[in-house]
Amino acid sequence: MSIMDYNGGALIGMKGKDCVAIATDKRFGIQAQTVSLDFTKVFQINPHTYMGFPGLATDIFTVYEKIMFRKRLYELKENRKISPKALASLVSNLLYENRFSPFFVEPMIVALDEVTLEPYMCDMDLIGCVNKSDNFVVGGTSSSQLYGLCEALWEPDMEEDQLFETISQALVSACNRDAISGWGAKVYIIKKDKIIVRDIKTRMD
Amino acid sequence: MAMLSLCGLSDDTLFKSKCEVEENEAFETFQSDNTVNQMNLYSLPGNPVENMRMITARDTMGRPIELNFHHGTTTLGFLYQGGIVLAVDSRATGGQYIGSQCMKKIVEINDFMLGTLAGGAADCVYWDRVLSKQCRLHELRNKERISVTAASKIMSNMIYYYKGYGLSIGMMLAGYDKNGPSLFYIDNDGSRTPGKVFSVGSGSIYAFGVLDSGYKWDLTDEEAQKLGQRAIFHATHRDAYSGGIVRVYHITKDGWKHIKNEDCDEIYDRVKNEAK
Amino acid sequence: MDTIIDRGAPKARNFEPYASNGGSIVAISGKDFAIVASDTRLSEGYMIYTRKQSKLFQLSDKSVLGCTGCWCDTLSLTNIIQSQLKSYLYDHNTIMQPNSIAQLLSTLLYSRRFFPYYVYNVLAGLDSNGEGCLYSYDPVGHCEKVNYTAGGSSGVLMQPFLDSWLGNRTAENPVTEEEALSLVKDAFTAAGERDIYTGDEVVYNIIKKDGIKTGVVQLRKD
Repeated sequence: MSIMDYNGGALIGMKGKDCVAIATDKRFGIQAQTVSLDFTKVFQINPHTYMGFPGLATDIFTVYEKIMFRKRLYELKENRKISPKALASLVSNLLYENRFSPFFVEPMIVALDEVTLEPYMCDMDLIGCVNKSDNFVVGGTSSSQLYGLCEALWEPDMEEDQLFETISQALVSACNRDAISGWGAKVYIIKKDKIIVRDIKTRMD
Repeated sequence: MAMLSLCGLSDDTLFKSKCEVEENEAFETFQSDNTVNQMNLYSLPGNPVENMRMITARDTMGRPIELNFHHGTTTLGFLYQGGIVLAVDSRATGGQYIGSQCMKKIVEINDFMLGTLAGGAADCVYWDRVLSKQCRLHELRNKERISVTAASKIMSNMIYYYKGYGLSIGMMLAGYDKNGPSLFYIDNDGSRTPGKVFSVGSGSIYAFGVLDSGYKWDLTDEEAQKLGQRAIFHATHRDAYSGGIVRVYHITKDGWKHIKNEDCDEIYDRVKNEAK
Repeated sequence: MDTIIDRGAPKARNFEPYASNGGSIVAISGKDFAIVASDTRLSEGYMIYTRKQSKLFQLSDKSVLGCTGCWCDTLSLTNIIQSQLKSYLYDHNTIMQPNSIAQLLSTLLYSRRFFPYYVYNVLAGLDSNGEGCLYSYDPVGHCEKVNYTAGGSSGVLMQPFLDSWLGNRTAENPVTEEEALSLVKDAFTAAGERDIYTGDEVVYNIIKKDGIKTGVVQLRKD
């Protein structure tokens, strides 16, 4: 078992029409043992900027704190909110600094640009290779399942409701085929005027 | 052949043709051996576990082979005043991937005997099938049903023959015979233990927690069935490799009876509402 | 004279009998039909050997076996099954029913428990009542009767998709032939986008009372 699969988890980001969504499962486990049912791996960085962290739970918090530290310094220096693109570079740099003893997380950024409100989405590997995406990003132990589902279910220019349906369906179905993801899920829909957060029910076994 | 020339025998001796007959017979039965004799499995020379590790280490392109056999389980069984209750989950996993959510982990060996399976799915199902054939043969030869003790001994002997070959089996054999109800635990090390309360599989530690706290000899039938179901349900909740449907069986002097199948999802909702 | 040819340290050579030749199978059964489909790409590593190799093997007029994984094992296994079926036919003067073939296949796979066939099998057929039936296997012969399944290199990608469409079906709302075929196409199209071992074409067999219908759908070729 790879260290990336130690805690389990599934994440997706998806692009819709003038909105983006990010979804996470809630399981925190130690290999086969389910420890907590309220461990969301998604964090708000700015009002319209969210990040998801699939990977090793301990590194999730470390990396998140480090990102926030650098992001705050950036914003103090520049006196403006960080753009998702700049954030991606910032995270990428941070991860690459540890090229030979990496953090075991593969962060994804799902955001609307704070100024232009352009949707932006990317994910990266654990040493910070940014992979920008125009449709969806996936991560976690059930990424194969999620890729299959997203390829089949995703379509361009989905409205908010349809986006919610699609992302939920993808996450739930993927978790049902992965032993170490699931136990509840949370979906965030990011629109220009509001953020909608919904809990969704999944199997609890 | 070397033996022949060493003995100075000519090519057309009787001895040689007998050799050839044996060789041909061996060749003919080679591919279909276990369709004729189920207890005879093909294996490479050398240590079977070491061989398995070696042949699955990498493919011709140097990538590791992913031979994901189906695995995982929580099963339990206990004896009480009203007979035996068996309860199992239904998930089969290959690595972290859930191969099936509705696998049948209780095998009906005859009308009075059930086997539960944990470990390698193919190992358990195959050997249970061989066992039920042996039990039926016993019945035909001796004009009476086989006792659970005898059946469990057959099973553990068969498994013991392949000890060290890397089989993965943890089964319970439960049934009702002329000596009353009995329950055996058998595993791939060759151990065979009679007992009152067993739980086997990756989720057994969680199941035992519930089972031990609720178990007593004087349980009513309904209480016993509920306890079995609940223990499995809680195990599926905490153990990643258990889940799906909880199946409950009950064995009395009239044979086994399938009590119910209930989806873990439904049990979860019910238990949650009960707690409120 | 003093030159010593450096041949390096002695190397251990392992026995590597398996190749991963890729390929995927999807199968769905319905009330009076069973559909089984495979892609036609045969590859190894980054090399494509052929774009025209179906992984479906017709065993009788009512059953088709889909078999992927190590291609040499596939060929060897399907040959053995076909010869066993012939013996059965000559011994009993009847064609073996799919449920019996299912058990035979399980036993044959298990005979190699300690040197497994590196293959994923799906057996599709029509049972004695004329209803579609499907059996899916792991490499050592654990057999399960299912209503739909996806296996092979893209099995992980396609199975949850099939779950989301077919997981909650009841007897009142059975899957139709057209729907099944379109699901098969969608599943393969999605898998072809992300799995390099699945692509080129999908060949499908629809098994019905009056025979087996074959068709081909194009996939991406890159």
